[in-house]
Amino acid sequence: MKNLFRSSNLRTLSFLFAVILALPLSWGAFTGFYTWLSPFMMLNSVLTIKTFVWLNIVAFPVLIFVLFRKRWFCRNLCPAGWCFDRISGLNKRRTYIYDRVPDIGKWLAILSLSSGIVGLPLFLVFDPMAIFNGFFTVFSGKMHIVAILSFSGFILLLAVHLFLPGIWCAKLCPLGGLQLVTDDLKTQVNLLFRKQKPEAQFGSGRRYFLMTGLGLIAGVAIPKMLKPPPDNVIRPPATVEPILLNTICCRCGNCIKACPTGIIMPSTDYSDIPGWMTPAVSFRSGYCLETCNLCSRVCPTGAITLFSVGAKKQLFMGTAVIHLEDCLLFNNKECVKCKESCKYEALEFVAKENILNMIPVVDKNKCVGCGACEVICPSDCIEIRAITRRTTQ
Amino acid sequence: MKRRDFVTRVLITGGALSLGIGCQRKIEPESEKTAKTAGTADQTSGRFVTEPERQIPLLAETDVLVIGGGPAGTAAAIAASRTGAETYLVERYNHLGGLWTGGLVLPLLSTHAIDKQKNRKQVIFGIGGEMAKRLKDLGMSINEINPVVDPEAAKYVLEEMIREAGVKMLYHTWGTNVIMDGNTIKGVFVESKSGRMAVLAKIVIDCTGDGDIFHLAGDNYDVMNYAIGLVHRLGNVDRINTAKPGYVKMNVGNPTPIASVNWYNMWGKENQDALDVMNLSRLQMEYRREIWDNVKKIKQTPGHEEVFLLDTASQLGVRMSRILDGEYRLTLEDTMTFKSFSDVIGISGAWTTMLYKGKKISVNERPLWQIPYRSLLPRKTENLLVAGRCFCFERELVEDTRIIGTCLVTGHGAGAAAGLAIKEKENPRNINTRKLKQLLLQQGAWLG
Repeated sequence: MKNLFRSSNLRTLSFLFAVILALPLSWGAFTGFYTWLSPFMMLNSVLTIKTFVWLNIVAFPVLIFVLFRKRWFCRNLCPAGWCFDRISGLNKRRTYIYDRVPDIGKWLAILSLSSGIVGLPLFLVFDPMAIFNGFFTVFSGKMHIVAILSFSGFILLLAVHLFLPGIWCAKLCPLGGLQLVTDDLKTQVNLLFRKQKPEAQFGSGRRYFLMTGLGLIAGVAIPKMLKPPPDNVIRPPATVEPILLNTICCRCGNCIKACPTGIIMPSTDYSDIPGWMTPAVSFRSGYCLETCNLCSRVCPTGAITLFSVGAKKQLFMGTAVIHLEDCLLFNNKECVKCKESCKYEALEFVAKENILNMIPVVDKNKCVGCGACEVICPSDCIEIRAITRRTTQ
Repeated sequence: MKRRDFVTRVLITGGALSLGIGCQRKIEPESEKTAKTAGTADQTSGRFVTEPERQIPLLAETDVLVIGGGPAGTAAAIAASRTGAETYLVERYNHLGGLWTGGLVLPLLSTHAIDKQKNRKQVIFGIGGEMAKRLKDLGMSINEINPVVDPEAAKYVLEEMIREAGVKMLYHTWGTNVIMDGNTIKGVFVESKSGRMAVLAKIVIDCTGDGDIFHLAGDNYDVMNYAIGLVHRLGNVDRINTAKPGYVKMNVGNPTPIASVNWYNMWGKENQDALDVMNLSRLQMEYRREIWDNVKKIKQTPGHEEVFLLDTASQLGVRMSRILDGEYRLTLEDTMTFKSFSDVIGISGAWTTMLYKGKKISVNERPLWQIPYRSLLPRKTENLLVAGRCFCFERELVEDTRIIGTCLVTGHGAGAAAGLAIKEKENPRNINTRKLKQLLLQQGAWLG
């Protein structure tokens, strides 16, 4: 028992735990729980969206711990770091010391947080928890080649460590970088309290200032430079606006893994490369269950705003369009499937010319585009189209 | 203050402020006023007349009394009679088969489903299968899976089978009230041209479709309003001249075993109360006019001059009304997971696509499903069995339970159970389900 809490054992345990939770094994709300532990992700999310969910709190102890124990998270919990260390261990030739490499991770963190404050967290996707969790999305099946390539970034990083051991954790990781920032801040606060002159220790203030400014400018300017993403993609309910989604979605794949009907797919649209791997919905395997809000509960960044199940009727994903020529009911066959499957009472059968020609009609104000009718339609004549009207807070 | 200090403080306060501004993020449903659903207007005058007490002649004292001669009732009567029990069958019209024949709902649906090895195969055997086979031998059914039959041939075949089984037939007769002794049903009052008469029976099988008997007996049930249609048939559809100038393709319905005749389905108005005779009368008149107008329109279309309205169904296509609150409620999950019951009385198949746990299960992937004997047993009333579309199931299942195939299966099960209970002198609630299964197998049923 004593051994269990020895640092190395704890870390291996943590790694195994993280892998199990990251695999698409229907963990429900615990899918990819490690993403919640990342303070980098939490700060980006909270600063960008300016609201929080209660689960964000789990990242705070980590943030506070690293104030007292430098890099405590990296050394004890980080599953990605564990992998990189193992791979680095294979390189027996020599140990590298990257003195001359700047603290890229730190500046990534600062840029990301400051651009996030004005609305666009630039480097959230480089969070190691996101990269680690995202990789396991490959196992959820139904993957596109683009998805496999993108999620293999983790493998690529592992390969890099064969040649440059320890490079990610030491220099590149924005989560590690954030811990450097908190460390710097701690020093600064200590100095302020002790009324000492801060010059000696806090030498990088100018760079902090510049990077923060750069981040703020980037956060304001970049959204104006981007062309608006295509609007024909159906997103999970309560997903944020597409431009923000491209950066605030950390591609951890939690929603894809958690979705009980497996309708959330990574977007692999060739015309929208910045939007690759963001969640998109396809109703091939099921529909958006009226009793489910798992995607919003597992989203660690708020890209899918948390909603309660009861709110689903006001969260519009799309709207149903019926192609009557194939409709069984229109062709006088006994079929009521679309109406029966609609949980929002958005479908009515009305007489077209007379009572012998009934047709299904969609009430656009009630249809949220959950896809139940598209899925069930025996003649495949219903299609959900994305609509621009979305409810976000 | 130094610039660096300033920056640091701005960063700290900025961060803190951002957190401070933030409130909890969650989209909650908008509160909405619950609209009051308007109750159905009472059609009666609200006043009452007392019926004088009178002596009712006793028509017969029998073992099994089946009320309703639809697919379920016919199968039940044949099954009970074949076990040797004396059986009476009460039917309000002049033919057997109910909606299948007189109602012109001609397809015998759900005959097939997949088994555990994923092979699609026939699942409905027994008396229902016998009927289908006889009709096929007569050349009066088309399609191997979910056959469509000719209504007159079906009436003939059902009646022949009833005759062969020795069932005592009461046509043109309604079961109008129950004769109760406490919670035990003792018989039924029937009304006909001969006036009101009583039939006493050891076991009554409610095959009315609307569950009139368990309603009168005071059992609990659920009422489901559904669409009501009226089917009609068109003649001379083989003489449509497609070469005629100005020809437009018109919807003339679906083929039947007779080449010149098509049956034309109608979904009809939604959410109709099938237990309100005023409503039924109104719908009947409205539908007949709509059908006439539609046929007139077809006839006026070039090429369709010879098409005519052969007949409209003798009864409205009531899809659903009462659902029994029985000893076991069959669920959608049971039908999707090969659930096996120790008291299985029959197996039914699938005819439509279903949503199950958010996924589409198409007809070709739908498993066969067992129907337990308990779902035919009312909770309160003794010596009463229920078969047909009103037995005990979840509403989600309605598309599969209200159709001819399932009615034939439940009818056969209820009839055999009644016969066994008579033979063993047992309350139908306590019969040995192993013996029941044996009996059903002897009668040609397939139980998996």
